[in-house]
Amino acid sequence: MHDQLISRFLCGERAAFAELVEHYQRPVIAYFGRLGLSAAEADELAQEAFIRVWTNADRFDPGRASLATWLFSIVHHLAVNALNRADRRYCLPLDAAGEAIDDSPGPEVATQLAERKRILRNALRQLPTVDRSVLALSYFRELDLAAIARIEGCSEAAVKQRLYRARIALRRLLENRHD
Amino acid sequence: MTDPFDELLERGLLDPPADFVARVMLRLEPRRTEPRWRSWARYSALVGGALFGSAQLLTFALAAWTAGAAF
Repeated sequence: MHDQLISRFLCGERAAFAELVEHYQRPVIAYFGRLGLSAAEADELAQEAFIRVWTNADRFDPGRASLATWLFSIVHHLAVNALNRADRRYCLPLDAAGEAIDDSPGPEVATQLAERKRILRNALRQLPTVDRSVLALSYFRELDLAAIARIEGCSEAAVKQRLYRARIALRRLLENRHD
Repeated sequence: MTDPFDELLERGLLDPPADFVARVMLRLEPRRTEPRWRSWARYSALVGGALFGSAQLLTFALAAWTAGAAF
């Protein structure tokens, strides 16, 4: 992210914020997707996260953390709350998590892709939230181990351990799945 | 992890809807651009006012008790 864009955003320029949302929308929604949330849930939470970023911009200190780290701290907080909520809204049956229209070339490919997504989502949902969250964050290139540790509120060693544990568990779940 | 799943994880399973940015921008409210000192001043005024009010109440209660004790 360019410093100039961040400065414009911090000054309250809406166009700069729109550019920021454009830049981060994919990683944020992908993060929610990797947590096993449905498209509708991801959309709602991502919107809420960006609104909070806009509203609480005066709390962002570029000297303390990067914008990506700060944004994902908000995103992570919302995600954990959503996952922990007793509300049935966030406890959809595993197979019922719908998603946006697929832009795959043909119906067979689309069906196969949808099936793989369903299997992967079901496997992800069986991982503990902390492990799943670390795994989901690790795919975003702008966040290094230190940033993930800051977001998760743990040490870098703990992040490494959770990541390792999550990958092993996910591999096992996918290999031993019963379709 | 098998490759197709790793590829899916890399992609993130979900893509943002085409109108996502527009919908976020529609929900934005004008940001408060109040300087930090002003919010501190407001907070101090609130605390000061509360202390002053409490002192007034206490004085009244003490006066009422003194008057009552005099008779």
